[in-house]
Amino acid sequence: MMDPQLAQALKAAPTNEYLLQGSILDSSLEVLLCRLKGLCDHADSPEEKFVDHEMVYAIKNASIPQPLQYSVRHSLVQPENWQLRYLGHSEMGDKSRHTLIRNCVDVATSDNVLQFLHEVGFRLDHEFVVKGFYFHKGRMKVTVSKIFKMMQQGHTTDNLESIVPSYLVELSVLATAGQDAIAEDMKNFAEQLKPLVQLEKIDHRRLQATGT
Amino acid sequence: MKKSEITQNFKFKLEFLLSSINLRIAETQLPLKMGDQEAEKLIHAIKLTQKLRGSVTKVFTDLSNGQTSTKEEEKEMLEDLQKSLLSMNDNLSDLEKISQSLPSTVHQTSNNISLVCLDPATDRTQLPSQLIHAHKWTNKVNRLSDYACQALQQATLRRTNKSQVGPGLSTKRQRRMPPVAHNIPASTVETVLNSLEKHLPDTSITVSRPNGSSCVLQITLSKTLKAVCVLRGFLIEYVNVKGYNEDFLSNDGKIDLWSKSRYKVFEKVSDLMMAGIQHYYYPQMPEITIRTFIQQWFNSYKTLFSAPCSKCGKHLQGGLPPVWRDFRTLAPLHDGCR
Amino acid sequence: MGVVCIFSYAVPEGKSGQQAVDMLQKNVELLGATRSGNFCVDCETYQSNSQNISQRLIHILHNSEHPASCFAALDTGTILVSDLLFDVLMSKLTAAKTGRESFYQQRKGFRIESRGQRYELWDFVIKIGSVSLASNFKGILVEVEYCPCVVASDCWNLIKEMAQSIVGNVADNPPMYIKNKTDPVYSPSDTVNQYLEHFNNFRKTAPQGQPSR
Repeated sequence: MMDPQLAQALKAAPTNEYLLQGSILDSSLEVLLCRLKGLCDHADSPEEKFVDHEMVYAIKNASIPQPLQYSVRHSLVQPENWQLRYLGHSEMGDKSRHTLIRNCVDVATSDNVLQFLHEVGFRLDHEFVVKGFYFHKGRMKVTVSKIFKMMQQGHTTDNLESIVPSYLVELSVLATAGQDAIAEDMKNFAEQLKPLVQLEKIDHRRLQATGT
Repeated sequence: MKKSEITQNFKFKLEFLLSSINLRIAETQLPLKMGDQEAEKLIHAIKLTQKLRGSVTKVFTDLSNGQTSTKEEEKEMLEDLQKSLLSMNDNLSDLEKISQSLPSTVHQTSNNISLVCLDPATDRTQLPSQLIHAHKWTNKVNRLSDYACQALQQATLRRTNKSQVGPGLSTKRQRRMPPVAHNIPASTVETVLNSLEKHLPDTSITVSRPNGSSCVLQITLSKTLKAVCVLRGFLIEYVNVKGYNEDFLSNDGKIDLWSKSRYKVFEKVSDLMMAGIQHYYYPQMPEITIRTFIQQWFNSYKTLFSAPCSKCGKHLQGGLPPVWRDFRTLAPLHDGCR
Repeated sequence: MGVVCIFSYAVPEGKSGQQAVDMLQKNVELLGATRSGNFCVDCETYQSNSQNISQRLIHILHNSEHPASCFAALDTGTILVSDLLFDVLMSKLTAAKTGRESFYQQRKGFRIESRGQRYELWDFVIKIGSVSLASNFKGILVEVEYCPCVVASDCWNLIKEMAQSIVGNVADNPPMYIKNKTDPVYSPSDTVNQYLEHFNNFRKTAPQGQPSR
């Protein structure tokens, strides 16, 4: 069906995200940033900030109870950047594995992605603004970010309300399936951030269960 | 043990006193206009300072002689020390008295002492990153100067013109008005360029000065082409042309003057423009030159792709559109048709 | 990326498709063009599957000139340009699990592609592709690209002179899409749109059944 070269390229594309999560109080943010700056690459340049507007779209129909969700990330710092993302269910795995694994497909797109999704049949489910900092060490990515509720639909700069007085810390790596060695590296890295922040694999299903 | 602690304490306090005294002296020496009376006071102050220094030195020598075995000697030493400290104290209060009566213009300096004790939060300052940059920069300068040195040694510059040595000629030559076109204040250049940009609706000109006073123009001509232009004052030194879909940035985001366009058309146009600026070299009226160059000749390249050759009426010749513009009529011509 | 014009070249009577392609290739080589590899533009079509979503077609196109991109064109005219991984997202939309149907499904026998030789000549890129629908030969598409320019109306005459020397008077008028284009700056999705128009025309002629090679 597909071009063989293309199929191969898709097969080799990293779509498995290894993930560890934690959080830190606003008051200790400075210390954590300092630490990360020292640990990660490009220590000589100032930390990278990002402000993203994330819109989660869902498509439903009668025969399928569970909607399919795609989220659109739009950078408010570099407004020409649009990204479409699919996140699969996260697998806890057993104790021998140190991280969560979930299917993650990130696709950079042109700026008409909202119109496109709408015409395909997706509808906006919810949206929020994420502000934070971005670090990387090798292929490991660390984000320290805060999620803001948008009090007025479509207003991404004013009328924002933070939900909790803490920052979300995420350590993630995109890899192809079966590269479990990377989880070991991530665990070691997370160890270095203790006791500032405790990065763990967090069971999302349990969170959802307690949240509702 | 105790004795050494005391000595340590002394040393600290003394050093602090000394530094403050030195500052005071610096203050007193600073005022330039002084009456006789003040001068006398000043001399007195200096003498007092010398005296103080003497007594301080004595304290130190006494201290360094210390560390004796018998109790008597120790007592003696302590007495000596007390004496010398007392005399030092007297000297100091004398000096302070006189220094207060001296006029001082720099009271603030004494405040700086308090700053010395402040420990800056090193993490907050930009110092480390600046240092890294400075280090990289100096390394680069070093390397470049090496290259330059090598290159210059191979080609020695001989600027002196032997014909100028003749007696009558030399004076005439020297009196000639020196060319000024290259030596024009930046603000003037910028106003001229700004007014130029206003005249040309679909041309954008950005000016930057990456290396000192020479300025680099980045000109985007409609949606046809982009060009960089190096100006020294109003003299056009260099032109490089690229496509609208190309840019003049090197990998690290700085302006890249030299790389050629990947298209043959713009390579040809660049060459022809370099030839064209010879025509527009007219140092007597530098401002008019650059105006006519950008406003007319350069601007006529807007139609690079759309205008047919004015001679043969065709668009393509040897795979290229009409790449030449006549200096007077601005008519588009193929390179082979002119 | 410059301006691209695509012309449909009718196979002369009494000649097979392959013969016509050979003749065009010879023409281009005589002009002095050098071969620079092969090219392929393919198109796959999906249609919406459920009553809840309004009827919609999604065409997924790939162009070897932009090997890392995927073009998703809707029948509304919207074209989304994205990374190649978009194919994975598309597969989520078309995936049907037991007990439920997918949101979209692939149209069988609708895969169409144009494949052939790529040439470079001065600042031009010329591609001669033979079009096949579900591996049946349908016709020939000749693509002429003038790379240095980004405004189609500016360089149409340049492209015309070049194209006429290859395909003759087929190139007397600019493609309708180029003529009707409102945004002056040409983009890769405009090329994809032109291909899609041609592909749709070829698909419409499908029932008549042209002689295959």
